[in-house]
Amino acid sequence: MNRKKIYPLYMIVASVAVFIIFFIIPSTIGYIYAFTNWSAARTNSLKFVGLDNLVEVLKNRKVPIAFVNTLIYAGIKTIVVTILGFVFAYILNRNIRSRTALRTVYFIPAIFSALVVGLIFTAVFQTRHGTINNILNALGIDSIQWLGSRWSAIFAICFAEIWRNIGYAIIITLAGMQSVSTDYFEAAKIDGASEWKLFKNITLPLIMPTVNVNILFSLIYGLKMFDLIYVMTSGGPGNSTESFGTLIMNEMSAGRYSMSVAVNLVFTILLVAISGLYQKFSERWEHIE
Amino acid sequence: MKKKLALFLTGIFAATLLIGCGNSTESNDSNESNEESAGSGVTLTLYGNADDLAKPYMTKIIDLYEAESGNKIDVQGLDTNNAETIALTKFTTGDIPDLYIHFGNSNLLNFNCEENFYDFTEAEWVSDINETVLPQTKVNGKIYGLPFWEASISGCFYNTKIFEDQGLSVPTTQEEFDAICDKLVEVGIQPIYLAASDAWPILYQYAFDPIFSGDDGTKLIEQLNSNTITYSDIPQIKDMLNWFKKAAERGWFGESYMTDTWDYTSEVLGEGKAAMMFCWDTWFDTDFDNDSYTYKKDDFGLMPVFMGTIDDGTFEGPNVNLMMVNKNGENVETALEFIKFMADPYNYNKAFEGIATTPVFKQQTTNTPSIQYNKAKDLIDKLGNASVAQPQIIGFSQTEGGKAIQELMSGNITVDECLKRLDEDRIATLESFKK
Repeated sequence: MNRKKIYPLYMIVASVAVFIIFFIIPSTIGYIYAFTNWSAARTNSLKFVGLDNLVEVLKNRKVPIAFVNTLIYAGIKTIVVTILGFVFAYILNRNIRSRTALRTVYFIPAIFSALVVGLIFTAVFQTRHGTINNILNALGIDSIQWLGSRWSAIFAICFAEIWRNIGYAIIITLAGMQSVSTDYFEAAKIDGASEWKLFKNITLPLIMPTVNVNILFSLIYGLKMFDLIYVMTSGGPGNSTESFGTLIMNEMSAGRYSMSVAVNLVFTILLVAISGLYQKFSERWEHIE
Repeated sequence: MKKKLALFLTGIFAATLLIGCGNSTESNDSNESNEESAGSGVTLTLYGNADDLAKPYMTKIIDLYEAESGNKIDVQGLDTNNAETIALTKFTTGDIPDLYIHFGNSNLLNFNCEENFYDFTEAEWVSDINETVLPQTKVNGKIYGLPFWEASISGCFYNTKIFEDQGLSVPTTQEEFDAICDKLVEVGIQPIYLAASDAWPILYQYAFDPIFSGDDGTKLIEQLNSNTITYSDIPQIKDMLNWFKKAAERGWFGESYMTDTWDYTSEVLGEGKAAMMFCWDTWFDTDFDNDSYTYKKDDFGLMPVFMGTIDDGTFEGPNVNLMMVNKNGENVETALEFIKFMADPYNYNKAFEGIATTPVFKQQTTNTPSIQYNKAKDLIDKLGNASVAQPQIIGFSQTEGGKAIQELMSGNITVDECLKRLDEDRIATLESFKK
């Protein structure tokens, strides 16, 4: 393939058509329901109710909790996964004997479904017979109700989410590190550069696009966290660990369909805004000279 | 030329995708008509929750009917977790089966009963339904389905051996019940196992039934459903919340109730880690692993629930599934025949033979009531209340209400705030239904 050749626009017609038919149109139609009176009791003869549902969303007591929690989940996950992913990738990129085996081991959690991971960590953090509490009891320490209060439950959820996702971060970062030409390092070493300088001035700038991809993925999937929370706490105790995902699900389950779509609309706007902002700022980091 | 070829291929590709996603109703219809013409009788379609339809008495009654009539029931089980949503979507798009089975609760209103289902209010079999079940069958005063289900009586399990050892007897008043809980705490036994982490096992609807029973109760439900009063206007509901708060503070639910889950119920009761638990009587027959623990199912009795709303305590009557007929379907007469067949005492007695349940029908004799039911029968007859709160209060949510009570018990909110939350969620659903 000639990389410099500019292909005609009609070559993208098929993919754009599929995207429009299967993503843009259904999403747009879906969001129209946020402005109707659609509920379990009213599935026929829908009428437009203007911005009523969005006003209700803003008045909903659970929305601020879900908003804050969603940011906490996404923030913690993004920071920890990115840093640990980078550290492990850096270690695995070195010439250590067991690196192939370790790469596989670190990636294994990524192939489990969120449901399975949720069940595993529910068992780990369970008060009765939970793995961690069993260890604490063996050391003479009283059991902790990990999933029984807001902050410890958020910690447990984040821990499980980080465990599940770190494999991806390692693989992506590792791929980035391996694509950096060894010529740079050899040249720098001849000039007497230290390990730290090699890392700071060669490795880090050249893999920033990869790190950015990692951050963006972690951020978006962190904001969309639902399944782990649903399995581990169902948004409880009370509504203290609710995210936007569980809130949307709860509204839908209660038969308040248009409200559910309205919450989803607000959430999508938030998601697009945060992702857009991040991409805007991250462009600068990618061009570190 | 290349441009034209590319556009042509794009068109073919898009058309293929759209055809693939098209409605296949026609082909299904032709299959169905082939099926009907191939067999000797009529094929009735039946939608319902997959788990519900797999119950032994359901499969047995269908087998009996098919063998006798030569007709066929095409059972289409819907995904258990989303059965109601899927069914509602099907109804909305006009895909209404000949028969539909639904847990009679206020959500049944969503299915537009008057327009879609046959009215059985005047059917002969109505007089054969037990009084504790009858309210469950009604939607706006009319009966749209035959209750055909295992029926349980809910109350409070208690470990008879622990009670004997401590010199305790079944309480007859709220005060006596509370005193028993205090006594058990004193001697280091957890009085009640409450799987509060799962929210739904808080089962606060048990406390609601006596409030909403009788004519006065019906009036209260009507006022709640028309949004002319709120829970805050019903003092007993505040009493119930005060009781939950007190129970949590005094340690009646133990220390780890906020993380206790339903999964541990067998272990906790079987090993005597708690003396009591709110539950339904058939649980020991269906869920309890009788051989694995110190205490066996015979060691437990059923007593009334005391949750602060009624001094004598209460038992909750059964929650049952209803079999309904699509009154606008092509096979109405055959579907009605099927209902008549199910309501025949000879047939339902065959279907429920040996099933652990209390009787739904007055002439039901082949079922085997639980040990707990038999021991407490007189008390149940005296204090039993039909399950009315959950099926009839629009917007009642066992789980969301349970979550509000979780927050109350953990001290995050006050009783008044909890009351407000119960109302908020209920009214939100009510309002969304009225828009």
